[in-house]
Amino acid sequence: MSQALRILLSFLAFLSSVTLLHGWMNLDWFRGDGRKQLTVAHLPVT
Amino acid sequence: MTENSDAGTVFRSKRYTSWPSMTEDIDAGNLHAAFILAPLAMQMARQGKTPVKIVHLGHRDGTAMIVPTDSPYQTFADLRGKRIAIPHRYSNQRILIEKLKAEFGFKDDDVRLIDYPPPEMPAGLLAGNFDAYIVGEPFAAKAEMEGFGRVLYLTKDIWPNFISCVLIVTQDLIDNDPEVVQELVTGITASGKWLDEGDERLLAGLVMQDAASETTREQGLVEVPNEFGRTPRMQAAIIAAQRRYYNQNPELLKFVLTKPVDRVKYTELDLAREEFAEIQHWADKLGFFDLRPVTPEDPFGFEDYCDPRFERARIPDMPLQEVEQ
Amino acid sequence: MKLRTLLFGAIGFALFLGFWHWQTYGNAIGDLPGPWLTARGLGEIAVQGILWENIVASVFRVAWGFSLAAGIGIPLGLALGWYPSLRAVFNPLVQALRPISPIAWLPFAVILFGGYPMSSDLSAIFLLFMSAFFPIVTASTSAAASLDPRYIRSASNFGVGGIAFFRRVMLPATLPQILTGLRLALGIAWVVVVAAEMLGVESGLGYQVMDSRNALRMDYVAAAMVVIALIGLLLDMGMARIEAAALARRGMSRR
Repeated sequence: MSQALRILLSFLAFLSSVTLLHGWMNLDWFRGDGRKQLTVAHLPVT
Repeated sequence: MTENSDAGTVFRSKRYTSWPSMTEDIDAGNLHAAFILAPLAMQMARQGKTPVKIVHLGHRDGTAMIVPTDSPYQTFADLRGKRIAIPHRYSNQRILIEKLKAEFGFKDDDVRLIDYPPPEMPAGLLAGNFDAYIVGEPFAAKAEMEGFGRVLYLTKDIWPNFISCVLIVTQDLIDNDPEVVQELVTGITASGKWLDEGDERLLAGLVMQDAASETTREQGLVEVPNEFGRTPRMQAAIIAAQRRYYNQNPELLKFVLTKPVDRVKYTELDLAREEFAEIQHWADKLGFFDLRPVTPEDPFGFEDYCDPRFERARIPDMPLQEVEQ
Repeated sequence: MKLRTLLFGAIGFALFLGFWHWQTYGNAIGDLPGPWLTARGLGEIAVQGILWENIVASVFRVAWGFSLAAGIGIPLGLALGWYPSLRAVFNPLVQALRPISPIAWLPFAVILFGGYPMSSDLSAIFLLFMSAFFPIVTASTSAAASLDPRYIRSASNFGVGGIAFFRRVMLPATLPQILTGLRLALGIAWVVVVAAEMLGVESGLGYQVMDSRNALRMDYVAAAMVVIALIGLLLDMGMARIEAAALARRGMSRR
């Protein structure tokens, strides 16, 4: 395998793993929750 | 209502760091419910880019004017010729200052108003960037707790039942899913009633520190320090201090919610026509609607920015625990 | 030699730490935090898990913005460099858009990607794309434009053209400059991610800076800054290694 291909493949692996990690940690992708959700926005000030 | 109740919608809290990013997200269609400054909500409704309606209040009062502890200022009249920091040009705090100016016979340029980010206000006062500031809690209490600021006015003393932020939802959400708006509004009413009138039963998901154990920790229950006690307000301080809500120091929230207790109120949250008429009057006078001026041919009134229909439903019970665990 | 470099670097850090400690001695959490408070805050957010979530969010956005910029910017830049007429038409435009700070695009980015799933991530990625795109295009353009005419002539003498020319001549000859451009672009993207996350998203190291500021936790602000610095350093070191490896393989090492 050429070096360029190796760099490319390992970068793709990194990209997909960081995407999955982000989805899991910050976007609740893998939380199969059947309940309805609504986001309510606010600032930390009354 | 939250993850801790066993039925209904889960309302997720999304904490923004600035008003523009919130209004942009509403206009972009990413966001359908928000607590936002009352005049800003009116301005959005008037602009009509994204039709929104005010459906309920989140609280009343909870705003204070702070001056340096060692300053001679005793009333608003002493602030003639001074600089006052306000949270936003379309905030009701600004309207309050304008009302005071009228009341004390100030000319327009007798005080200088400075737009300032609320979290920076205590530090700004300490640094002498301005002589007084008016803001929603907890950034007023912060200066008071640290000792370098004192309260000149609490809103309850100058504009009782002051309205700072209101709950808005998009017209889309009202049309497509009125049930979820209903659930949100009655949920807020119920929490407010519990905050102001509830007894010492703990809310689901909480446990007193001395009753906490390995099991409660595994269940993810939130511990209430014993010295806080178990009044609804202290429970609320602990809940709101969490990272997914206000992400603030619990001691500061405790201060806000108890010193004095009527610093912030959570009852009478229904939309009152006369109060909004007054805010609208001032907003109009200050040019908040300049992009689309209010004229007899193009009127603007309570029905255009408020939708009080969700306030008439039965109030649900709070998910409270039995008396003793 | 290596040890000496490390030692001298450490002296710089030690001097900075000492000055920092001296200037912030006795400060509380709400004030300017000292090194000790910062380290403690860093430990706290690491244990709570906030830190890891925010690192992942920031790295995720930079990785995508950077890859898209490289994926589009390198071919485009090479084409601009190779075809003078194309360059005459588009290079002025590229140079005019380049000085606009990516942050200025933020309000438009929010509107542009509004309504899509992950819209806040998309608009942040767009900003990072904008920040990384121009250095990459500019580097690739100038690399292709300054291709040594002797290479071109000898290639055509040997009948090397088309794909083979691209792989055997163009790519190796332009690689050093492109890699330098990529390294520069990654550095800029990392600086921009923090600013981009200060508005409109609810994760990432930039969000942590703003949110901790709102929470009056200056120790967490400083902790986020330390992590931003460390990751920036790592990214740059990584890019430098790739650069060196690629060049060494082609016998073009600059060291």
